[in-house]
Amino acid sequence: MTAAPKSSLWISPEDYLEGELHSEVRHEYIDGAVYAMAGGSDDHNRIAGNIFAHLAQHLRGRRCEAFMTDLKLKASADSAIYYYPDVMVVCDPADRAKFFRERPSIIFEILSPDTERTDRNEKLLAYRAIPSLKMYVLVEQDRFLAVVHRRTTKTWKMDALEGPDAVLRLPPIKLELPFGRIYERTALARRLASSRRDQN
Amino acid sequence: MTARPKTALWISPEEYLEGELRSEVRHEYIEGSVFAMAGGSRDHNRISGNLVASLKHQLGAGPCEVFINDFKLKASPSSELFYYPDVMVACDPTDRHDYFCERPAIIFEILSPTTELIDRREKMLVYKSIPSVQAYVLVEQERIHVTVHRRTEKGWAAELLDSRGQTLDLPAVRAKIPLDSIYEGTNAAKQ
Repeated sequence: MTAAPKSSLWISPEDYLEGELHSEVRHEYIDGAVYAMAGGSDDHNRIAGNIFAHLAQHLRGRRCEAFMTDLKLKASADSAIYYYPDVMVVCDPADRAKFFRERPSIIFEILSPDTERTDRNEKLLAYRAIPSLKMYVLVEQDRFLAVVHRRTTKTWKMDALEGPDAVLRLPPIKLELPFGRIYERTALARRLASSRRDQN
Repeated sequence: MTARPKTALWISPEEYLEGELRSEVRHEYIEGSVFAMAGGSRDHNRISGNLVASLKHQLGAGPCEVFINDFKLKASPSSELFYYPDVMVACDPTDRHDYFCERPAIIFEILSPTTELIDRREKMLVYKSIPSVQAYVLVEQERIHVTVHRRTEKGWAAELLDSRGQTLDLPAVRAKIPLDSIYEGTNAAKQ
């Protein structure tokens, strides 16, 4: 999802939030500047949808709730930032502004070529500064690979999960998500299915 | 200056620093990943040269020193990262590692189309998190347009300079650079 600066003028967080109510395009907000977000690919949407669907089903009737794509996250350590995470899980019942969340437990971003660096670096820095966050998961579209950043008692740890049979474990919500479900219907999954058929 | 992740494997800061001593290409280092940096344009080089010339002249033999292009900045917003800022002014005499600076006073980035968003977003967040940084200056190449983020008593404030005759004031290091000097010899100056 490409981001382009819309204007070099400083915009207040209030004006930004008001503008997002009427805008046809979503924007991210970083310290007074507003950046338009481009749409994503079919596989980007499938992966985000698959993750969200499994989370929503698992969390039905529980305290934690899953959100996707068009609910903002307010991340403000030293700066005022609003992002639209691909998928997030929020477990704090007091965190309930109408148009954004501030204390997520888990965030997922599905990587696109144009925004990969933003997700891997800028957002990693911003997300890790959110005290409530336990996990940040980056899922690649073009190969079976997810990078998982996990808060431990002292610091953050990073692991890579790789291969079609990997399983993503989400201890904060006691859920295991097999890659087979995360990548369901994607081009990658179809290629794998046909190569496995050829082998048999 | 385009950046691309080189590998998905985690590299330690020590391995990175060791590798940079021998690499033919510069890399940035963020959270265990290494990103190659592409070269810059003619005007990019002119602007960084103009900044350095003007700053060196004004800073003279004072406590502050100018660094350009291939001297690293080490920042640790949450864990370690290393960038190569286009131009840095550093004034802390205790900050004197051979291969990187940790406490610069002023940082300049000259914007290129491929890295503008990194400079405006990621690097802005990182630079603002460095306690010694008093100003972060973003200089556009293709038009006379300079954005200055300044640390003030009330937090950070942004200022825009976009016409000839204006002067970039950097009181933290007692330097003033006219926009005409910054853009001297560039295509933007000819327009």
